[in-house]
Amino acid sequence: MTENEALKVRIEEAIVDLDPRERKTLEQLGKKLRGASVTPETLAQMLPEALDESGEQRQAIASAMTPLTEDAIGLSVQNDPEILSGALFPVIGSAIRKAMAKMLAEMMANMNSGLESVFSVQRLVWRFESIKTGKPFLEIMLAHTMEYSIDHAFLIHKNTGLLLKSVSRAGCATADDDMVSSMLTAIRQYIGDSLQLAETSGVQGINTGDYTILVEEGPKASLALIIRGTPEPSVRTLMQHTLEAIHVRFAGALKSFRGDTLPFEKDTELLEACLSCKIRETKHKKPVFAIVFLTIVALAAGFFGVTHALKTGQENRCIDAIDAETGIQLISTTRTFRTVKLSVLRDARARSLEQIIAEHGLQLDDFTISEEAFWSPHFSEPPAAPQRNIPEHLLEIARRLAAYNVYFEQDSGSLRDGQGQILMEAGELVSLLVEESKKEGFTATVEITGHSAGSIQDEAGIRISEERANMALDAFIEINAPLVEYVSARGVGVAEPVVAEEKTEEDRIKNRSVTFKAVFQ
Amino acid sequence: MIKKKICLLGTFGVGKTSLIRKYVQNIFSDEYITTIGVKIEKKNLILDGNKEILLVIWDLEGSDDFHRIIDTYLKGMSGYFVVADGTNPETIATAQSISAQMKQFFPDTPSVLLLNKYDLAHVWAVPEGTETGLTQPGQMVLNTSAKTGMGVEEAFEAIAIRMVETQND
Repeated sequence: MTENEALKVRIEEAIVDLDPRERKTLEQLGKKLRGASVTPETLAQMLPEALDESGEQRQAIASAMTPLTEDAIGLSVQNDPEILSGALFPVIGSAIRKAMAKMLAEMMANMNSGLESVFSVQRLVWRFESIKTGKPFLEIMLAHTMEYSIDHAFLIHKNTGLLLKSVSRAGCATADDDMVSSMLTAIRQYIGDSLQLAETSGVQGINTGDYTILVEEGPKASLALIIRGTPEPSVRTLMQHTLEAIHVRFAGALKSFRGDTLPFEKDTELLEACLSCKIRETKHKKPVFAIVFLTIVALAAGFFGVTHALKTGQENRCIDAIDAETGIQLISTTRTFRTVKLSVLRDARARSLEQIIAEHGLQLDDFTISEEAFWSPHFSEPPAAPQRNIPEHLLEIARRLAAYNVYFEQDSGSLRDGQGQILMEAGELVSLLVEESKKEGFTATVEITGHSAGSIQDEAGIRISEERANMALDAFIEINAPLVEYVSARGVGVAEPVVAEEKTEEDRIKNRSVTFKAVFQ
Repeated sequence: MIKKKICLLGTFGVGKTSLIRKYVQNIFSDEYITTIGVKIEKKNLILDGNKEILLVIWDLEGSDDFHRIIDTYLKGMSGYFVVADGTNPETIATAQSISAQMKQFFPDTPSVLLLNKYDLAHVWAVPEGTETGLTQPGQMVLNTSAKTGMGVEEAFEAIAIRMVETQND
């Protein structure tokens, strides 16, 4: 007989031993159980209540339903993605906008901080401190800007000093949390023992370098925070509340603790809530530096842009003027970043490019000009021979000659007293000029101009001035006959006075004269 | 992870720190530096192939009188060693005294008596076979040498096993 069969026999024997009333109740119960079935309606009524009452099983139920929910979502997306996207749409748009706004605000804040850090004298001092101490700049900056930062939280079993659980701020790590908590316990016990402190007034804080260690004791556990900076009094209150909450949440585990830290590993919410920091400048401020910087950049860009556009317009108008200038042929125009390259053909009789450029308010340096000479048919005269440099001594003779004035009697072609010698000297200069010019390969001619005094141009004045000029010409030919080929005479009357405004008789005497002008070919 | 606090007691110079250093760091130095207050070390070990235990070892300063540390350093310990210098009968007598008094204050706490410096066999002061007579009821005794490492691992394993057994009771 198997175990089950034996059990069945024993049960049946027990039922037989029951009194009739008990047997009947048992039969009714059996019927009820056999007839009962869970209908969907029944389940629908029971399920919400069951979930409400799930209590400690809630986590397990959620855990069990997770794969089912994931599969359901996957199936929905597979069948018709629009359903899920439609359902999420009201949320996604808003979430994206918030995220974008936050990102832009953070970017502006970061840019502002960065600019502030570049331009701030204070931060330059910190940079110097960083170089001097060898510590990273970020560490120096945090030390100066941060009031405090709770970097580590330790939950320590009070009796044993064993670490129950520790949490640390991201980026902060201790060498060994177990050792830290045990040594902390030992140090507090050592100090308390050495100073004969009562247990209720044990060591509650230790300051070491940049760190403050605060310890708060509860009946079964202690909470220790390692804080960088100087914490405000509210931290102690936070510790007390946290410790109280821990003693409530982990009452059973603390009471029965014999080394197993697993119950404390699972739930770190209370400890993590202790990790916080306070920055000195916590108020949200407008990113002034960023705004000013961007405004300056925008204005500078706008200024340079407008300036460049205006200059380009100027240059274009100048180039058009050069192209339109008589005697200048524009071959090509090339713009580079710094200059405008022009290639032109220019008749020597045409205006200089420098003059045209200056007329348009530009500098010659703004252009790189490649110029070749050519003969332009627009000018009636054939081009003059290329101008060679005239030797200085010839020019000096010419200047000396030009300084000579030979005076005549009023209304006459006769020389005034003493002017005969002057005329002879001028004649000798003319001869010298002609001879010296020949030696240098030049042909020098001299133009004798006769003038008359007065303010009204009339035939008499012109006649007198021509008479005076011819008189000087004749005198030169008498000195040196070949000069006839090199000297010419003309009378201009009052048109080209030696003295523009005749105020005195002396002025009028000067205008009754002949003058000399040398021309080199 | 199971964490257990164990303490080492004994008079000066019996080798408490050397035993711990040998066990934790596997190093030994002849240089004697007295321990002031307490030093703490830790070591992980595996029992029964899968039970991981973290031993937090409190190395206490040498003392003949531990009464003042009962409520401080000794509080919460799960096991303790009483260490004597096996070549020095005075330290053995002190260890016995400590063991007896500790038994009164911590009757259920596992303990092991360690007779250290066994490498100095030529001046060993404990006749063979008489070691168990030095112990308290329920206390284990082992010969150890921090210099050679003899018995060190066994000692810490033994106390760990006893602590786990006591926890399960």
